Amino acid sequence: MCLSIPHKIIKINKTKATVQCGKKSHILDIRLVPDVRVGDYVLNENQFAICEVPKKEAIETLRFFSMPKVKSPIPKVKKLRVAIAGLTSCEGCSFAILDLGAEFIGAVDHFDLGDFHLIMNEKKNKKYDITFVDGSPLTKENIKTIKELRRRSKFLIALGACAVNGVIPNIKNYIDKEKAVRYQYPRTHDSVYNPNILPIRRFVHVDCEIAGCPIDARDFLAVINSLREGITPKLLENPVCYECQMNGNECLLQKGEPCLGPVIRGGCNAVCLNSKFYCKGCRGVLPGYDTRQLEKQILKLISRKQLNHILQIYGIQEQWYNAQK
Amino acid sequence: MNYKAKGYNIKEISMRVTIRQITKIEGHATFWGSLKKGKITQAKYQTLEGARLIEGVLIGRNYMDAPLVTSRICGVCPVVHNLTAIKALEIAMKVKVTPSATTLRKIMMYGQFIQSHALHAYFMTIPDFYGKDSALDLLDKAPQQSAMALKIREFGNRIVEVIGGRTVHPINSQVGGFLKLPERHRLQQLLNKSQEILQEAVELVHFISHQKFVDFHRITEYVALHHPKEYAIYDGVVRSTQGLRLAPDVFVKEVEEIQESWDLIKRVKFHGRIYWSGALSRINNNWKQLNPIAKHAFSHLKFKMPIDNSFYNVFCQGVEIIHCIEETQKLLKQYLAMKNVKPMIKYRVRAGRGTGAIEAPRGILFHTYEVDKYGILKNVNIITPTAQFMNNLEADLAEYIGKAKKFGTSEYRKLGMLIRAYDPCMTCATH
Repeated sequence: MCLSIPHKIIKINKTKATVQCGKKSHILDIRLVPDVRVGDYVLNENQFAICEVPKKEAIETLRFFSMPKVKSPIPKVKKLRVAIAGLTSCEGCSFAILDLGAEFIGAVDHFDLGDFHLIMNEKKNKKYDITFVDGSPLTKENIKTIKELRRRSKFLIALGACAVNGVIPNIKNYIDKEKAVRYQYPRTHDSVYNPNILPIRRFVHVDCEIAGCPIDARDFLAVINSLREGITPKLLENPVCYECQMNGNECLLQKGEPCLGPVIRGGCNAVCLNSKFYCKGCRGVLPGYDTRQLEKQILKLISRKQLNHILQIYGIQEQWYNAQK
Repeated sequence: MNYKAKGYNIKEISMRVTIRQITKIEGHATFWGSLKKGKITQAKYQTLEGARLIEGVLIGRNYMDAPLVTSRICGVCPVVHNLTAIKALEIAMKVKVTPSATTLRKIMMYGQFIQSHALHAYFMTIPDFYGKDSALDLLDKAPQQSAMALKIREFGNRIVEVIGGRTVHPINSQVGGFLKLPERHRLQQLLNKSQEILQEAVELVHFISHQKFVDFHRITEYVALHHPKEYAIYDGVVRSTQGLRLAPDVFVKEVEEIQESWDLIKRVKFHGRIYWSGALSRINNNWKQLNPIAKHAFSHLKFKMPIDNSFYNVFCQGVEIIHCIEETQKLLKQYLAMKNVKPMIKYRVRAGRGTGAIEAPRGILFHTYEVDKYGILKNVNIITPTAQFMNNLEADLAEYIGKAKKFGTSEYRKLGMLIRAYDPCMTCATH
């Protein structure tokens, strides 16, 4: 008998009680719970009532078990249609996925893969169950593409720091970008489309975000496998600091380097710190973490301008200051 | 791919040849060509990537941002951007690194070549030879070779990870050396594995050499780095099959970067001349300096040099995989025998200007930096291989369309194959 289901006492006869569980009834020994009365709820282990369950809790538990199964947004069909599309980016995240090698091929075998232009032509699968998008929308064509992909997909995942935060081109938002475009294209700058860089979520609703520059390919596997089971994916919520300490690294913050590790989302196994390179936050600030304390410590080591330069690289400057409100 | 299967006789008709979205290349691009009564009036290849302004955003930043930021220009060749940036900055600030650091960087470059070429010379180009569109189809059509190509790419990835810290976007390599030395036992593991990978590479290249390459000829100028003592990849002067001999910083000053209003790629010409840069170019210039097993694999096809068929760039990349594995073996042994190796040297930040040139898998990459006495970047210029060979690719495409007797599905596929043979990297070209 399942230990988690409360049984209701219907009749008591000295040391034995008749209990009801659904449509079945049992006779339990109640010597371990001598104070029970008719109408109380107990847990059954090997035909012994081992403890009493408060009435409110018991009713709530029974109600949960009688609820119809909640359907996940992704239908559990044999093969899900998955797309791995890209906007403007270095495509490093796509390559990180491809570099799973045999693991990628194995994972992909469970899906109907489309729109992964690195290794195939565009398939005629116009509608997708899951779409991964890497890159930021930099051109008008990119913006059209992301809106179309949202229309054609049930579950949209922003893949990589470019898609989630904007990354290196995001530096444009903080400098005189007219000057930058005139520097790079002195003769044709007028014809260069040069908007501020916005992450994908400012254009369409995004169901899940996997940050990182590049992503850790294991995140891709974790997300795609969760979705296959009909579970909404959830990423790790520990800071990089935790993983760095687990790896036995020397603390660079204590050595006087402006490491952002204490407030940045982990899941990367502190890969930069393992190579003695301080964390610059490519995976984004953890939600709910206040960056003020760390900022005070870091501003003793570097100037505000230098801190902003670090934050701009992976597009987390806005996130950093918003976390202080 | 837009396979508009209309088999017209070209001499009689005016038509447009369009490939809206070219696939199995790095980045996004589109191609269109037009003919008027059999004569090519246009052959244009355009990038679909946006303006990230990598050169523009680096101005005013600390020099240490350059290797980090430029590595993000491209996800398939981040190592070469990272190392070229470091090299250029070291020249600018007159920093001389230890021989061990140079050895490690060279091994990283060979790892980059092995991983990039294994992906391109097999997964991106071979499906076409089977009339297939997806690299995943190769798993059924050629399962043994697919497994070999995966192993070879994995080996290249491992090299970059052990030395650089990560496969995509290395972390360890910096101006002055490395933040952390690679673990010796992991280098030994790579050395132990290398012989097996070398044998698989030879077999794979043998397989590639037996594919039916398109019969196409158009001679042009082939430019590559040249080094007196070895097949140039990490170091060299700029040389060509038409007598060019220039140091990289001089070459960079002499080229023209042409800006078009309809395309973000700044196409390159040298004194008005267009040229090839890439594996084919390197082989045409330096094939005599290939390592013995690579040279043997190359001689299998008995070419009359220089090779003027761009489609064979794929085979040349295969030969380079073999060469790079042999080089890796040599250098790993050399490094493991070194004593008292230091990761990083102490250096002074000073004002200066420097040009670094390294052969990337797709051709010569040039980074030029000017820093002030505080190490702030004052000027940045990056010339990528794809920007250099773009003009030549368009000329080849025009030639191919012009010489075709009809234009149906098969010709469209071969057009795609010609583009893919060059291995264009759109994100590099459109930084």
